[in-house]
Amino acid sequence: MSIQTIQFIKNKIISLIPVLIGISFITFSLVFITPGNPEDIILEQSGMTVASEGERLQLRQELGLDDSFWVQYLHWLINVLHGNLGNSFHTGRGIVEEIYMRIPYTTIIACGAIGLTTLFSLLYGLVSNYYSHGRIGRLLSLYGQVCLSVPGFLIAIMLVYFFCEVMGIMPSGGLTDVSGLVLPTISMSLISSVMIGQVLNRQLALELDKYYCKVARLRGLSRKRILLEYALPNAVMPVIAMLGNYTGAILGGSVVIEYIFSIPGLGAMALEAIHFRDYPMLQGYVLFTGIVYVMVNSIVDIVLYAINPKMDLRER
Amino acid sequence: MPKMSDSKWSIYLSIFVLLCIIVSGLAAPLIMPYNPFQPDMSIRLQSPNSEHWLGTDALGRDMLSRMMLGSRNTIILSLVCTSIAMTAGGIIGMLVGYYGQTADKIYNVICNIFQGIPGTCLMIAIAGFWGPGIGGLILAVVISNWTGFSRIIRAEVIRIRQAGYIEGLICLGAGDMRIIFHHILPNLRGIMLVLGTQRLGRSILSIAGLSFLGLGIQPPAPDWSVMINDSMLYYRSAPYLVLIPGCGIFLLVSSINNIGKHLERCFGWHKNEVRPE
Repeated sequence: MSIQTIQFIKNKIISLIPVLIGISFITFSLVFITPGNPEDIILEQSGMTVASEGERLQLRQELGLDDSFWVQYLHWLINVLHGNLGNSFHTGRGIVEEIYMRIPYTTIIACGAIGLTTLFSLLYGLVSNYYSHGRIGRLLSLYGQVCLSVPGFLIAIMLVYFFCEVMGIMPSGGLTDVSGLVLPTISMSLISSVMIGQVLNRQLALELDKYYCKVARLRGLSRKRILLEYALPNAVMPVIAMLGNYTGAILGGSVVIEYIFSIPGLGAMALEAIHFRDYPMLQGYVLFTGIVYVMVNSIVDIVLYAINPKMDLRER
Repeated sequence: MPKMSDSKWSIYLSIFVLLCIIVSGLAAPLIMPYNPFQPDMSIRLQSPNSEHWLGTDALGRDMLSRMMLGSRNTIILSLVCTSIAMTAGGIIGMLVGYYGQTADKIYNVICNIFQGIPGTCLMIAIAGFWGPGIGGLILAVVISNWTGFSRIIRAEVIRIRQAGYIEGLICLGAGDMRIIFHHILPNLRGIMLVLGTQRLGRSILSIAGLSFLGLGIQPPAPDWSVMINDSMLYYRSAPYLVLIPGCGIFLLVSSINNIGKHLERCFGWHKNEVRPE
Protein backbone atom coordinates (compact mmCIF):
# COMPACT_ATOMS: atom_id res chain seq x y z
CA MET A 1 0.00 0.00 0.00
CA SER A 2 1.43 3.31 -1.01
CA ILE A 3 1.77 6.35 1.20
CA GLN A 4 -0.89 8.15 -0.83
CA THR A 5 -3.36 5.38 -0.20
CA ILE A 6 -2.73 5.50 3.52
CA GLN A 7 -3.12 9.26 3.40
CA PHE A 8 -6.37 8.85 1.48
CA ILE A 9 -7.70 6.39 4.06
CA LYS A 10 -6.70 8.77 6.85
CA ASN A 11 -8.53 11.67 5.18
CA LYS A 12 -11.52 9.48 4.56
CA ILE A 13 -11.77 8.49 8.21
CA ILE A 14 -11.43 12.10 9.32
CA SER A 15 -14.14 13.20 6.90
CA LEU A 16 -16.38 10.44 8.26
CA ILE A 17 -16.54 11.95 11.74
CA PRO A 18 -18.76 14.96 10.97
CA VAL A 19 -20.98 12.82 8.76
CA LEU A 20 -21.52 10.24 11.49
CA ILE A 21 -22.21 12.96 14.06
CA GLY A 22 -24.66 14.55 11.63
CA ILE A 23 -26.45 11.27 11.08
CA SER A 24 -26.78 10.77 14.80
CA PHE A 25 -28.12 14.31 15.11
CA ILE A 26 -30.77 13.75 12.42
CA THR A 27 -31.71 10.45 14.02
CA PHE A 28 -32.10 12.05 17.39
CA SER A 29 -34.09 15.04 16.19
CA LEU A 30 -36.54 12.81 14.32
CA VAL A 31 -38.25 12.13 17.64
CA PHE A 32 -39.21 15.77 17.87
CA ILE A 33 -41.47 15.64 14.81
CA THR A 34 -43.73 13.05 16.40
CA PRO A 35 -47.14 14.19 17.45
CA GLY A 36 -47.77 13.89 21.18
CA ASN A 37 -45.39 13.56 24.11
CA PRO A 38 -43.01 10.64 24.53
CA GLU A 39 -44.21 9.98 28.07
CA ASP A 40 -47.79 9.65 26.87
CA ILE A 41 -46.71 7.10 24.28
CA ILE A 42 -44.79 5.06 26.88
CA LEU A 43 -47.71 5.13 29.31
CA GLU A 44 -50.06 4.17 26.52
CA GLN A 45 -47.82 1.22 25.65
CA SER A 46 -47.67 0.01 29.22
CA GLY A 47 -51.44 -0.33 29.21
CA MET A 48 -52.29 2.40 31.64
CA THR A 49 -55.25 4.15 30.15
CA VAL A 50 -55.40 7.06 32.53
CA ALA A 51 -52.09 8.04 34.05
CA SER A 52 -52.02 10.49 36.90
CA GLU A 53 -50.20 13.77 36.52
CA GLY A 54 -47.66 12.65 39.12
CA GLU A 55 -46.74 9.53 37.17
CA ARG A 56 -46.30 11.56 34.05
CA LEU A 57 -44.05 14.05 35.76
CA GLN A 58 -42.00 11.27 37.30
CA LEU A 59 -41.54 9.61 33.94
CA ARG A 60 -40.61 12.91 32.36
CA GLN A 61 -37.94 13.33 35.00
CA GLU A 62 -36.65 9.77 34.53
CA LEU A 63 -36.36 10.26 30.79
CA GLY A 64 -34.80 13.67 31.20
CA LEU A 65 -37.41 15.27 28.98
CA ASP A 66 -37.27 18.55 30.88
CA ASP A 67 -33.65 19.16 29.91
CA SER A 68 -32.86 21.31 26.93
CA PHE A 69 -32.60 19.78 23.47
CA TRP A 70 -28.82 19.87 23.43
CA VAL A 71 -28.45 18.26 26.86
CA GLN A 72 -30.80 15.48 25.81
CA TYR A 73 -28.89 15.00 22.58
CA LEU A 74 -25.57 14.83 24.43
CA HIS A 75 -26.92 12.26 26.88
CA TRP A 76 -28.29 10.19 24.05
CA LEU A 77 -25.04 10.44 22.06
CA ILE A 78 -22.96 9.33 25.04
CA ASN A 79 -25.26 6.36 25.52
CA VAL A 80 -25.02 5.48 21.84
CA LEU A 81 -21.23 5.65 21.94
CA HIS A 82 -21.36 3.17 24.82
CA GLY A 83 -23.43 0.88 22.62
CA ASN A 84 -26.64 1.58 24.48
CA LEU A 85 -29.51 2.59 22.23
CA GLY A 86 -32.11 2.22 24.94
CA ASN A 87 -34.93 -0.27 25.26
CA SER A 88 -37.78 -0.96 22.93
CA PHE A 89 -41.13 0.43 24.08
CA HIS A 90 -42.87 -2.59 22.68
CA THR A 91 -40.81 -5.67 23.52
CA GLY A 92 -38.79 -4.20 26.34
CA ARG A 93 -35.58 -5.73 25.04
CA GLY A 94 -32.51 -3.68 24.24
CA ILE A 95 -32.48 -2.13 20.77
CA VAL A 96 -28.96 -3.37 20.02
CA GLU A 97 -30.02 -6.90 20.89
CA GLU A 98 -33.12 -6.53 18.73
CA ILE A 99 -31.10 -5.30 15.73
CA TYR A 100 -28.56 -8.04 16.28
CA MET A 101 -31.30 -10.65 16.02
CA ARG A 102 -32.57 -9.21 12.75
CA ILE A 103 -29.25 -8.65 11.01
CA PRO A 104 -28.72 -12.17 9.61
CA TYR A 105 -31.94 -12.13 7.56
CA THR A 106 -31.34 -8.75 6.01
CA THR A 107 -27.66 -9.52 5.43
CA ILE A 108 -28.47 -12.68 3.52
CA ILE A 109 -31.02 -10.96 1.29
CA ALA A 110 -28.85 -7.89 0.81
CA CYS A 111 -25.79 -9.93 -0.15
CA GLY A 112 -27.84 -12.02 -2.55
CA ALA A 113 -29.39 -8.90 -4.03
CA ILE A 114 -26.03 -7.17 -4.46
CA GLY A 115 -24.56 -10.28 -6.10
CA LEU A 116 -27.47 -10.59 -8.49
CA THR A 117 -27.44 -6.85 -9.20
CA THR A 118 -23.76 -7.05 -10.14
CA LEU A 119 -24.39 -9.99 -12.43
CA PHE A 120 -27.52 -8.60 -14.07
CA SER A 121 -26.12 -5.11 -14.51
CA LEU A 122 -22.94 -6.42 -16.16
CA LEU A 123 -25.05 -8.55 -18.47
CA TYR A 124 -27.47 -5.74 -19.22
CA GLY A 125 -24.74 -3.19 -19.88
CA LEU A 126 -22.57 -5.46 -22.03
CA VAL A 127 -25.36 -6.99 -24.08
CA SER A 128 -27.19 -3.74 -24.69
CA ASN A 129 -23.92 -2.12 -25.73
CA TYR A 130 -22.86 -4.96 -28.01
CA TYR A 131 -26.23 -5.05 -29.75
CA SER A 132 -26.94 -1.34 -29.42
CA HIS A 133 -27.94 -0.97 -33.06
CA GLY A 134 -29.97 -4.13 -33.35
CA ARG A 135 -33.30 -5.38 -32.24
CA ILE A 136 -31.93 -6.83 -28.99
CA GLY A 137 -30.62 -3.45 -27.93
CA ARG A 138 -33.98 -1.84 -28.66
CA LEU A 139 -35.72 -4.57 -26.68
CA LEU A 140 -33.37 -4.16 -23.73
CA SER A 141 -33.85 -0.40 -23.64
CA LEU A 142 -37.61 -0.96 -23.65
CA TYR A 143 -37.20 -3.43 -20.80
CA GLY A 144 -35.15 -0.84 -18.94
CA GLN A 145 -37.85 1.78 -19.42
CA VAL A 146 -40.49 -0.58 -18.08
CA CYS A 147 -38.38 -1.52 -15.05
CA LEU A 148 -37.73 2.11 -14.16
CA SER A 149 -41.43 2.99 -14.29
CA VAL A 150 -42.76 0.22 -12.08
CA PRO A 151 -42.79 0.46 -8.30
CA GLY A 152 -40.65 -2.21 -6.64
CA PHE A 153 -43.53 -3.70 -4.71
CA LEU A 154 -45.45 -4.39 -7.90
CA ILE A 155 -42.55 -6.38 -9.35
CA ALA A 156 -42.35 -8.42 -6.17
CA ILE A 157 -46.10 -9.10 -6.13
CA MET A 158 -46.09 -10.11 -9.78
CA LEU A 159 -43.16 -12.47 -9.25
CA VAL A 160 -44.94 -14.06 -6.31
CA TYR A 161 -48.08 -14.42 -8.36
CA PHE A 162 -46.39 -16.08 -11.31
CA PHE A 163 -43.91 -18.29 -9.53
CA CYS A 164 -45.95 -19.26 -6.49
CA GLU A 165 -49.55 -19.20 -7.64
CA VAL A 166 -49.45 -20.00 -11.34
CA MET A 167 -46.41 -22.24 -11.51
CA GLY A 168 -46.16 -23.23 -7.88
CA ILE A 169 -42.40 -23.76 -7.84
CA MET A 170 -41.37 -21.26 -5.18
CA PRO A 171 -42.43 -20.61 -1.60
CA SER A 172 -44.23 -17.29 -1.31
CA GLY A 173 -42.74 -16.22 1.98
CA GLY A 174 -40.39 -16.95 4.82
CA LEU A 175 -36.74 -17.90 4.73
CA THR A 176 -36.85 -21.57 5.59
CA ASP A 177 -34.46 -22.73 2.88
CA VAL A 178 -32.50 -21.47 -0.10
CA SER A 179 -35.47 -21.47 -2.45
CA GLY A 180 -37.14 -18.87 -0.23
CA LEU A 181 -34.25 -16.58 -1.03
CA VAL A 182 -34.68 -16.60 -4.79
CA LEU A 183 -37.72 -14.39 -5.29
CA PRO A 184 -36.84 -11.67 -2.74
CA THR A 185 -33.34 -11.23 -4.12
CA ILE A 186 -34.49 -11.23 -7.73
CA SER A 187 -37.22 -8.69 -7.09
CA MET A 188 -34.77 -6.46 -5.26
CA SER A 189 -32.12 -6.60 -7.94
CA LEU A 190 -34.22 -6.14 -11.08
CA ILE A 191 -34.68 -2.39 -10.84
CA SER A 192 -31.24 -1.47 -9.54
CA SER A 193 -29.53 -3.72 -12.09
CA VAL A 194 -31.24 -1.81 -14.89
CA MET A 195 -30.14 1.53 -13.42
CA ILE A 196 -26.53 0.41 -13.06
CA GLY A 197 -26.61 -1.43 -16.39
CA GLN A 198 -27.65 1.76 -18.16
CA VAL A 199 -24.75 3.64 -16.59
CA LEU A 200 -22.39 0.86 -17.66
CA ASN A 201 -23.79 1.05 -21.17
CA ARG A 202 -23.14 4.80 -21.31
CA GLN A 203 -19.63 4.42 -19.91
CA LEU A 204 -18.83 1.66 -22.38
CA ALA A 205 -20.02 3.85 -25.23
CA LEU A 206 -17.77 6.67 -23.98
CA GLU A 207 -14.75 4.36 -23.77
CA LEU A 208 -15.38 2.80 -27.17
CA ASP A 209 -15.39 6.28 -28.64
CA LYS A 210 -11.81 6.92 -27.46
CA TYR A 211 -8.78 6.43 -29.68
CA TYR A 212 -7.33 3.33 -28.07
CA CYS A 213 -10.49 1.40 -28.83
CA LYS A 214 -10.70 2.75 -32.35
CA VAL A 215 -7.05 1.84 -32.95
CA ALA A 216 -7.66 -1.62 -31.61
CA ARG A 217 -10.56 -1.96 -34.02
CA LEU A 218 -8.32 -0.82 -36.88
CA ARG A 219 -5.76 -3.42 -35.88
CA GLY A 220 -8.44 -5.94 -36.59
CA LEU A 221 -9.46 -7.04 -33.11
CA SER A 222 -13.00 -8.32 -32.81
CA ARG A 223 -15.67 -6.09 -31.33
CA LYS A 224 -16.27 -8.58 -28.58
CA ARG A 225 -12.64 -8.63 -27.52
CA ILE A 226 -12.37 -4.83 -27.50
CA LEU A 227 -15.53 -4.58 -25.46
CA LEU A 228 -14.49 -7.12 -22.85
CA GLU A 229 -10.74 -6.58 -22.63
CA TYR A 230 -10.28 -2.91 -23.49
CA ALA A 231 -13.40 -0.95 -22.67
CA LEU A 232 -14.86 -2.91 -19.76
CA PRO A 233 -11.99 -2.50 -17.26
CA ASN A 234 -12.07 1.26 -17.79
CA ALA A 235 -15.81 1.59 -17.76
CA VAL A 236 -16.41 -0.51 -14.71
CA MET A 237 -15.05 1.91 -12.10
CA PRO A 238 -18.06 4.24 -11.88
CA VAL A 239 -20.20 1.14 -11.83
CA ILE A 240 -18.43 -0.13 -8.73
CA ALA A 241 -19.03 3.24 -7.11
CA MET A 242 -22.70 3.02 -8.00
CA LEU A 243 -22.93 -0.47 -6.56
CA GLY A 244 -21.73 0.97 -3.26
CA ASN A 245 -24.45 3.58 -3.45
CA TYR A 246 -27.04 0.99 -4.22
CA THR A 247 -26.49 -0.80 -0.95
CA GLY A 248 -28.53 2.12 0.36
CA ALA A 249 -31.32 1.48 -2.11
CA ILE A 250 -31.19 -2.20 -1.19
CA LEU A 251 -31.34 -1.48 2.55
CA GLY A 252 -34.33 0.77 1.94
CA GLY A 253 -35.97 -1.57 -0.54
CA SER A 254 -35.70 -4.40 1.94
CA VAL A 255 -38.54 -2.83 3.93
CA VAL A 256 -41.03 -3.44 1.15
CA ILE A 257 -39.58 -6.81 0.19
CA GLU A 258 -39.54 -8.11 3.75
CA TYR A 259 -43.12 -6.92 4.13
CA ILE A 260 -44.27 -8.78 1.03
CA PHE A 261 -42.29 -11.98 1.65
CA SER A 262 -42.80 -11.87 5.43
CA ILE A 263 -39.11 -12.08 6.32
CA PRO A 264 -38.29 -10.96 9.88
CA GLY A 265 -35.38 -8.70 8.95
CA LEU A 266 -34.45 -5.10 9.73
CA GLY A 267 -37.05 -3.64 7.39
CA ALA A 268 -39.79 -5.65 9.03
CA MET A 269 -38.44 -4.39 12.36
CA ALA A 270 -38.83 -0.81 11.17
CA LEU A 271 -42.41 -1.41 10.09
CA GLU A 272 -43.24 -3.07 13.40
CA ALA A 273 -41.67 -0.14 15.20
CA ILE A 274 -43.85 2.27 13.24
CA HIS A 275 -46.92 0.17 13.89
CA PHE A 276 -46.37 0.07 17.65
CA ARG A 277 -45.06 3.64 17.76
CA ASP A 278 -41.80 2.23 19.10
CA TYR A 279 -39.65 5.29 18.51
CA PRO A 280 -36.32 4.19 20.05
CA MET A 281 -36.42 1.14 17.79
CA LEU A 282 -37.04 3.29 14.73
CA GLN A 283 -34.18 5.54 15.80
CA GLY A 284 -31.96 2.51 16.11
CA TYR A 285 -32.95 1.43 12.63
CA VAL A 286 -32.15 4.79 11.04
CA LEU A 287 -28.84 5.07 12.89
CA PHE A 288 -27.81 1.54 12.02
CA THR A 289 -28.67 1.75 8.31
CA GLY A 290 -27.00 5.15 8.09
CA ILE A 291 -23.77 3.86 9.64
CA VAL A 292 -23.73 0.73 7.48
CA TYR A 293 -24.37 2.76 4.34
CA VAL A 294 -21.65 5.31 5.09
CA MET A 295 -19.17 2.58 5.96
CA VAL A 296 -19.86 0.59 2.80
CA ASN A 297 -19.48 3.69 0.67
CA SER A 298 -16.21 4.64 2.32
CA ILE A 299 -14.80 1.17 1.82
CA VAL A 300 -15.83 1.27 -1.83
CA ASP A 301 -14.15 4.67 -2.21
CA ILE A 302 -10.95 3.36 -0.65
CA VAL A 303 -10.94 0.27 -2.85
CA LEU A 304 -11.50 2.40 -5.94
CA TYR A 305 -8.69 4.71 -4.93
CA ALA A 306 -6.38 1.77 -4.31
CA ILE A 307 -7.17 0.39 -7.77
CA ASN A 308 -6.71 3.68 -9.56
CA PRO A 309 -5.53 6.71 -7.56
CA LYS A 310 -5.99 9.01 -10.55
CA MET A 311 -9.70 8.53 -10.50
CA ASP A 312 -11.60 10.77 -8.14
CA LEU A 313 -15.15 9.70 -8.76
CA ARG A 314 -16.78 12.23 -6.52
CA GLU A 315 -15.48 15.09 -8.59
CA ARG A 316 -17.18 13.99 -11.77
CA MET B 1 -30.44 5.13 -29.83
CA PRO B 2 -33.97 5.04 -31.21
CA LYS B 3 -34.63 6.72 -34.53
CA MET B 4 -36.10 10.20 -34.49
CA SER B 5 -39.47 9.17 -35.90
CA ASP B 6 -39.59 6.44 -33.33
CA SER B 7 -39.08 8.78 -30.38
CA LYS B 8 -41.53 11.31 -31.81
CA TRP B 9 -44.19 8.66 -31.91
CA SER B 10 -43.49 7.58 -28.34
CA ILE B 11 -43.49 11.15 -27.06
CA TYR B 12 -46.92 11.82 -28.56
CA LEU B 13 -48.17 8.60 -27.03
CA SER B 14 -46.77 9.60 -23.61
CA ILE B 15 -48.40 13.02 -23.74
CA PHE B 16 -51.68 11.43 -24.77
CA VAL B 17 -51.58 8.91 -21.91
CA LEU B 18 -50.67 11.59 -19.39
CA LEU B 19 -53.48 13.85 -20.60
CA CYS B 20 -55.94 10.95 -20.39
CA ILE B 21 -54.96 10.26 -16.79
CA ILE B 22 -55.12 13.92 -15.79
CA VAL B 23 -58.45 14.57 -17.55
CA SER B 24 -60.05 11.44 -16.13
CA GLY B 25 -58.83 12.50 -12.67
CA LEU B 26 -60.19 16.02 -13.03
CA ALA B 27 -63.47 15.07 -14.62
CA ALA B 28 -63.97 12.00 -12.43
CA PRO B 29 -67.04 13.33 -10.57
CA LEU B 30 -68.77 13.92 -13.92
CA ILE B 31 -67.92 10.74 -15.78
CA MET B 32 -67.66 8.16 -13.00
CA PRO B 33 -70.14 5.37 -13.71
CA TYR B 34 -70.61 4.46 -10.03
CA ASN B 35 -69.96 5.91 -6.60
CA PRO B 36 -66.39 4.83 -5.74
CA PHE B 37 -67.11 4.80 -1.99
CA GLN B 38 -70.33 2.80 -2.12
CA PRO B 39 -69.71 -0.81 -1.04
CA ASP B 40 -72.04 -3.48 -2.32
CA MET B 41 -71.22 -6.91 -0.97
CA SER B 42 -73.53 -8.68 -3.42
CA ILE B 43 -71.21 -7.89 -6.35
CA ARG B 44 -67.82 -8.19 -4.63
CA LEU B 45 -64.73 -9.49 -6.43
CA GLN B 46 -66.24 -9.50 -9.90
CA SER B 47 -63.72 -9.73 -12.69
CA PRO B 48 -63.99 -7.16 -15.49
CA ASN B 49 -67.36 -7.41 -17.24
CA SER B 50 -69.76 -5.33 -19.30
CA GLU B 51 -71.37 -3.70 -16.29
CA HIS B 52 -68.18 -3.02 -14.33
CA TRP B 53 -65.52 -2.50 -16.98
CA LEU B 54 -62.63 -3.02 -14.60
CA GLY B 55 -64.42 -5.28 -12.17
CA THR B 56 -65.20 -4.69 -8.50
CA ASP B 57 -62.99 -4.89 -5.44
CA ALA B 58 -63.34 -6.88 -2.23
CA LEU B 59 -66.05 -4.58 -0.92
CA GLY B 60 -67.92 -4.50 -4.21
CA ARG B 61 -66.82 -1.00 -5.13
CA ASP B 62 -66.49 -0.22 -8.83
CA MET B 63 -62.81 -0.34 -9.86
CA LEU B 64 -63.16 1.99 -12.86
CA SER B 65 -64.57 4.79 -10.72
CA ARG B 66 -61.90 4.24 -8.09
CA MET B 67 -59.16 4.24 -10.72
CA MET B 68 -60.40 7.55 -12.12
CA LEU B 69 -60.44 9.21 -8.74
CA GLY B 70 -57.24 7.45 -7.65
CA SER B 71 -54.87 9.45 -9.80
CA ARG B 72 -55.74 12.72 -8.10
CA ASN B 73 -53.91 12.29 -4.82
CA THR B 74 -50.81 10.83 -6.41
CA ILE B 75 -50.46 13.54 -9.02
CA ILE B 76 -51.16 16.45 -6.70
CA LEU B 77 -48.91 15.11 -3.93
CA SER B 78 -46.02 14.35 -6.25
CA LEU B 79 -46.30 17.81 -7.82
CA VAL B 80 -46.32 19.46 -4.39
CA CYS B 81 -43.38 17.38 -3.13
CA THR B 82 -41.30 17.90 -6.23
CA SER B 83 -41.90 21.62 -6.40
CA ILE B 84 -41.08 22.13 -2.72
CA ALA B 85 -37.95 20.01 -2.99
CA MET B 86 -36.93 21.77 -6.19
CA THR B 87 -37.47 25.25 -4.75
CA ALA B 88 -35.56 24.46 -1.56
CA GLY B 89 -32.80 22.56 -3.34
CA GLY B 90 -32.63 25.16 -6.09
CA ILE B 91 -32.28 28.13 -3.74
CA ILE B 92 -29.68 26.39 -1.60
CA GLY B 93 -27.78 25.14 -4.64
CA MET B 94 -27.80 28.58 -6.24
CA LEU B 95 -26.58 30.43 -3.16
CA VAL B 96 -23.92 27.84 -2.38
CA GLY B 97 -22.78 27.65 -5.98
CA TYR B 98 -22.60 31.41 -6.27
CA TYR B 99 -20.92 32.26 -2.98
CA GLY B 100 -18.79 29.11 -2.68
CA GLN B 101 -15.88 28.93 -0.22
CA THR B 102 -16.99 28.39 3.39
CA ALA B 103 -20.64 27.98 2.46
CA ASP B 104 -19.61 25.32 -0.01
CA LYS B 105 -17.67 23.38 2.59
CA ILE B 106 -20.50 23.47 5.12
CA TYR B 107 -22.94 22.55 2.39
CA ASN B 108 -20.86 19.56 1.36
CA VAL B 109 -20.81 18.19 4.90
CA ILE B 110 -24.58 18.68 5.26
CA CYS B 111 -25.18 17.01 1.92
CA ASN B 112 -22.99 14.08 2.89
CA ILE B 113 -24.97 13.72 6.09
CA PHE B 114 -28.32 13.71 4.33
CA GLN B 115 -27.05 11.33 1.69
CA GLY B 116 -25.45 9.19 4.37
CA ILE B 117 -28.81 7.79 5.37
CA PRO B 118 -30.31 5.68 2.60
CA GLY B 119 -33.12 7.69 1.00
CA THR B 120 -35.85 5.12 1.42
CA CYS B 121 -34.91 4.40 5.04
CA LEU B 122 -35.03 8.10 5.87
CA MET B 123 -38.33 8.48 4.09
CA ILE B 124 -39.91 5.57 5.93
CA ALA B 125 -38.54 6.80 9.24
CA ILE B 126 -39.81 10.36 8.79
CA ALA B 127 -43.23 9.18 7.67
CA GLY B 128 -43.24 6.75 10.60
CA PHE B 129 -42.25 9.31 13.19
CA TRP B 130 -44.75 11.82 11.87
CA GLY B 131 -47.51 9.26 11.96
CA PRO B 132 -49.68 8.28 9.00
CA GLY B 133 -50.85 11.24 6.99
CA ILE B 134 -50.07 13.54 4.14
CA GLY B 135 -47.89 15.98 6.09
CA GLY B 136 -45.39 13.29 6.96
CA LEU B 137 -45.40 12.05 3.40
CA ILE B 138 -44.54 15.47 1.97
CA LEU B 139 -41.86 16.09 4.60
CA ALA B 140 -40.34 12.68 3.97
CA VAL B 141 -40.14 13.05 0.22
CA VAL B 142 -38.86 16.63 0.40
CA ILE B 143 -36.14 15.92 2.98
CA SER B 144 -34.81 12.92 1.14
CA ASN B 145 -34.91 14.64 -2.26
CA TRP B 146 -33.62 18.18 -1.87
CA THR B 147 -29.95 17.18 -1.89
CA GLY B 148 -30.26 15.64 -5.34
CA PHE B 149 -31.61 18.89 -6.75
CA SER B 150 -29.22 21.19 -4.98
CA ARG B 151 -26.12 19.23 -6.01
CA ILE B 152 -26.89 19.48 -9.69
CA ILE B 153 -28.02 23.10 -9.51
CA ARG B 154 -24.86 23.96 -7.58
CA ALA B 155 -22.62 22.36 -10.18
CA GLU B 156 -24.48 24.19 -12.93
CA VAL B 157 -24.25 27.55 -11.14
CA ILE B 158 -20.52 27.08 -10.65
CA ARG B 159 -20.20 26.42 -14.37
CA ILE B 160 -22.24 29.48 -15.31
CA ARG B 161 -20.41 31.67 -12.83
CA GLN B 162 -17.15 31.14 -14.65
CA ALA B 163 -18.60 32.49 -17.89
CA GLY B 164 -17.19 35.73 -19.23
CA TYR B 165 -20.42 37.68 -19.09
CA ILE B 166 -20.78 37.15 -15.35
CA GLU B 167 -17.27 38.52 -14.87
CA GLY B 168 -18.24 41.44 -17.06
CA LEU B 169 -21.34 42.10 -14.97
CA ILE B 170 -19.24 42.09 -11.81
CA CYS B 171 -16.90 44.61 -13.42
CA LEU B 172 -19.89 46.78 -14.31
CA GLY B 173 -20.83 46.76 -10.65
CA ALA B 174 -23.91 44.56 -10.75
CA GLY B 175 -25.03 43.34 -7.33
CA ASP B 176 -25.05 39.68 -6.34
CA MET B 177 -28.83 39.44 -6.28
CA ARG B 178 -29.11 41.04 -9.69
CA ILE B 179 -26.66 38.55 -11.15
CA ILE B 180 -28.33 35.60 -9.48
CA PHE B 181 -31.90 36.46 -10.38
CA HIS B 182 -31.47 38.19 -13.73
CA HIS B 183 -28.59 36.31 -15.25
CA ILE B 184 -28.07 32.93 -13.58
CA LEU B 185 -31.67 31.94 -12.92
CA PRO B 186 -32.80 32.24 -16.56
CA ASN B 187 -29.94 29.95 -17.53
CA LEU B 188 -31.20 27.32 -15.13
CA ARG B 189 -34.69 27.07 -16.59
CA GLY B 190 -33.91 24.18 -18.90
CA ILE B 191 -32.15 22.15 -16.27
CA MET B 192 -34.89 22.83 -13.74
CA LEU B 193 -37.53 21.62 -16.20
CA VAL B 194 -35.64 18.45 -17.07
CA LEU B 195 -34.73 17.68 -13.46
CA GLY B 196 -38.24 18.43 -12.26
CA THR B 197 -39.80 16.05 -14.76
CA GLN B 198 -37.34 13.29 -13.99
CA ARG B 199 -37.78 13.67 -10.26
CA LEU B 200 -41.55 13.81 -10.61
CA GLY B 201 -41.55 10.22 -11.86
CA ARG B 202 -39.26 9.16 -9.06
CA SER B 203 -41.32 10.87 -6.38
CA ILE B 204 -44.49 9.24 -7.68
CA LEU B 205 -42.79 5.90 -7.16
CA SER B 206 -41.65 6.91 -3.65
CA ILE B 207 -45.13 8.09 -2.71
CA ALA B 208 -46.60 4.89 -4.08
CA GLY B 209 -44.13 2.85 -2.02
CA LEU B 210 -44.92 4.73 1.18
CA SER B 211 -48.66 4.53 0.61
CA PHE B 212 -48.31 0.84 -0.10
CA LEU B 213 -46.70 0.38 3.31
CA GLY B 214 -49.60 2.29 4.85
CA LEU B 215 -47.51 5.36 5.67
CA GLY B 216 -48.91 7.83 3.18
CA ILE B 217 -52.38 8.32 1.83
CA GLN B 218 -54.87 6.56 4.06
CA PRO B 219 -57.79 4.40 3.00
CA PRO B 220 -60.68 4.75 2.18
CA ALA B 221 -59.26 7.46 -0.11
CA PRO B 222 -59.07 5.79 -3.50
CA ASP B 223 -55.38 5.82 -4.36
CA TRP B 224 -53.67 3.44 -6.71
CA SER B 225 -51.03 2.18 -4.31
CA VAL B 226 -53.51 1.99 -1.43
CA MET B 227 -55.74 -0.07 -3.72
CA ILE B 228 -52.86 -2.46 -4.35
CA ASN B 229 -52.22 -2.80 -0.64
CA ASP B 230 -55.93 -3.37 0.03
CA SER B 231 -56.09 -6.16 -2.52
CA MET B 232 -52.92 -7.93 -1.33
CA LEU B 233 -55.15 -10.43 0.47
CA TYR B 234 -57.04 -11.31 -2.69
CA TYR B 235 -54.36 -11.29 -5.35
CA ARG B 236 -54.38 -15.06 -5.54
CA SER B 237 -58.01 -15.24 -6.55
CA ALA B 238 -58.32 -11.84 -8.20
CA PRO B 239 -54.95 -10.76 -9.65
CA TYR B 240 -56.60 -8.01 -11.71
CA LEU B 241 -57.17 -6.09 -8.47
CA VAL B 242 -53.40 -5.65 -8.22
CA LEU B 243 -52.71 -5.47 -11.94
CA ILE B 244 -55.10 -2.64 -12.81
CA PRO B 245 -53.84 -0.05 -10.32
CA GLY B 246 -50.30 -1.26 -11.01
CA CYS B 247 -50.82 -0.56 -14.68
CA GLY B 248 -52.10 2.88 -13.76
CA ILE B 249 -48.92 3.70 -11.84
CA PHE B 250 -46.79 2.24 -14.60
CA LEU B 251 -48.49 4.24 -17.36
CA LEU B 252 -48.29 7.46 -15.37
CA VAL B 253 -44.63 7.09 -14.43
CA SER B 254 -43.46 5.77 -17.78
CA SER B 255 -45.13 8.60 -19.68
CA ILE B 256 -43.60 11.17 -17.34
CA ASN B 257 -40.20 9.48 -17.66
CA ASN B 258 -40.53 9.48 -21.43
CA ILE B 259 -41.36 13.16 -21.51
CA GLY B 260 -38.42 13.82 -19.19
CA LYS B 261 -36.09 11.93 -21.50
CA HIS B 262 -37.37 13.89 -24.47
CA LEU B 263 -36.88 17.20 -22.65
CA GLU B 264 -33.37 16.12 -21.74
CA ARG B 265 -32.61 15.53 -25.40
CA CYS B 266 -34.23 18.84 -26.38
CA PHE B 267 -32.15 20.85 -23.95
CA GLY B 268 -29.04 18.85 -24.78
CA TRP B 269 -28.36 18.32 -21.15
CA HIS B 270 -27.23 14.95 -19.88
CA LYS B 271 -26.93 14.23 -16.24
CA ASN B 272 -23.61 12.85 -15.25
CA GLU B 273 -24.24 11.99 -11.68
CA VAL B 274 -22.53 9.01 -10.19
CA ARG B 275 -24.45 9.30 -6.97
CA PRO B 276 -28.09 8.31 -7.20
CA GLU B 277 -30.83 9.80 -5.02
